[in-house]
Amino acid sequence: MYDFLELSNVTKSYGYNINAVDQLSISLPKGKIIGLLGPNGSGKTTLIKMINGILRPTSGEILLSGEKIGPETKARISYLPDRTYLTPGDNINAVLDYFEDFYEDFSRETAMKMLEDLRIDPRAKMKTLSKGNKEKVQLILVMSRRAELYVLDEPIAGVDPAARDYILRTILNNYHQDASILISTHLISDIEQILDEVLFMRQGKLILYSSAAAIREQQGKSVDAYFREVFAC
Amino acid sequence: MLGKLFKHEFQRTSKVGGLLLIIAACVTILGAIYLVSPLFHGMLAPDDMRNPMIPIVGAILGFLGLLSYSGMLIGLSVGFMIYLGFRFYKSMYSDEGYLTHTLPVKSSDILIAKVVTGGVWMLIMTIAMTLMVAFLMLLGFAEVRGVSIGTIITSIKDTLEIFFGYIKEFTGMKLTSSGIMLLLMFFITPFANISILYGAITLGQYSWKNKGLMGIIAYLGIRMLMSIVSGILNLGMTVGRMSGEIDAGISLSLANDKYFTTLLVSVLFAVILFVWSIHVVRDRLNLE
Repeated sequence: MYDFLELSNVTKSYGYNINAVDQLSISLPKGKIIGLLGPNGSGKTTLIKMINGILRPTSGEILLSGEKIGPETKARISYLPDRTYLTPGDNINAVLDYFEDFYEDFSRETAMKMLEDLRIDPRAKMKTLSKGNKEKVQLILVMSRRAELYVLDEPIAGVDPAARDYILRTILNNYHQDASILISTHLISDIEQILDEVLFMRQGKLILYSSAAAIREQQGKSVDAYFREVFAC
Repeated sequence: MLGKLFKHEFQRTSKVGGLLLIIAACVTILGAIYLVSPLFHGMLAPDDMRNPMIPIVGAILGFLGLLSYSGMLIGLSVGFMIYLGFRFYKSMYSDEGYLTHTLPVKSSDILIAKVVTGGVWMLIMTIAMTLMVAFLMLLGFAEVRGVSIGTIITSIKDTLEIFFGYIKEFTGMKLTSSGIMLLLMFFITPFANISILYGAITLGQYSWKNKGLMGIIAYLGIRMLMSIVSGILNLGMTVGRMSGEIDAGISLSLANDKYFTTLLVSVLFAVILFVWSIHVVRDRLNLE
């Protein structure tokens, strides 16, 4: 029996001495919202990229339900990168067609409902949207899939506080209990309320894996406050 | 999934490809209108003109026009290839690659879809532009001679038959092998060129910095290497032919050898770079 997401001695090196991720081993369960937290350069995005097959580990192995990262796992992971990956000249309807064609778990109805909620015209071209709206469209695409694992890299970084609430509600409302969500963010206080577990990373190494409740109970402070204490400069 | 990749790849390249074909067609139509216009016919009838310079000016203008027209078609074709290379880089190795490489499809399928689509587009361009040039030339001849295009085609066909007859009579060789070779080159070269271009861009990914620039340098390097390999092979085959019995058909044999080596080297490099690209995308992908 495999853990849901299993990383064994995963290392990603750039050059001879720089390990963006260093001998990282961890098993993550199903049905949890997990915060991937750490300061800039701690290796969060590198780790996320490796889970999604955008980067290849220098050594080690990543398995999703026992399968190596490949087309089969990509069909089950819904990934929101920290950048705009949609073609500027495409309109949103064309992007929905694209997702509908390639992802069997994509629900156009769900996406249209969310676009309507956020008053985004599906006929609009990506290049005409504001940065915040582009991010919202990407999040809508990602959360309109019924994936087993959602990997969200800085999902609320570029949007206003009101939209953050909507996005967090969207994340909570759209993921199902058998799925897991891995969220990387600097805005811990905004997402702390929805986190079940947290991973702290520093210089490519995992320094803490705990439930959010345990941190609050054992440390007597919020995850955000504890993060500031651990990573104080 | 491969079918869906083809569908979307064609959709995304059709706007620019279609636009370039429309531009080429419009210029061809303008050329045709000029050829059937009184302006062109006036230049063909110097006796009726007061100024004897008009036919000379007309000939110069016609030559320049043909030169510009050919240049424009070559420019469109090269421009489209640069566009395909740029689009390949963007969709594979820039931010858009984050979507491309998280699709639940095999790396080889992504590359097959891109190479085949690019190759088909280049083939369409080549066929369309060949037909456009042929049409304008036939129309020009027909207008100069005051006959129909059909008559010109029949005349060209008769001339070619006589030419091939002479070749066969003097050299004892048929031009079938050359014809087949040229036909193969016509249909295979667009795909080979695209595979080489995409392979070079992919090779640029080995660099830590300036990956796009390194792709361009890799492309130029590969083209240079191909020329060297073709040159060496040609030289070897020419020496081989010359050391044997030299007959009247030697020039045709040498031409056939050149076609063969050019095609062989193109296909060889295209296949190697395609396989290498699959390896890079599948096993060594490192998007920034």
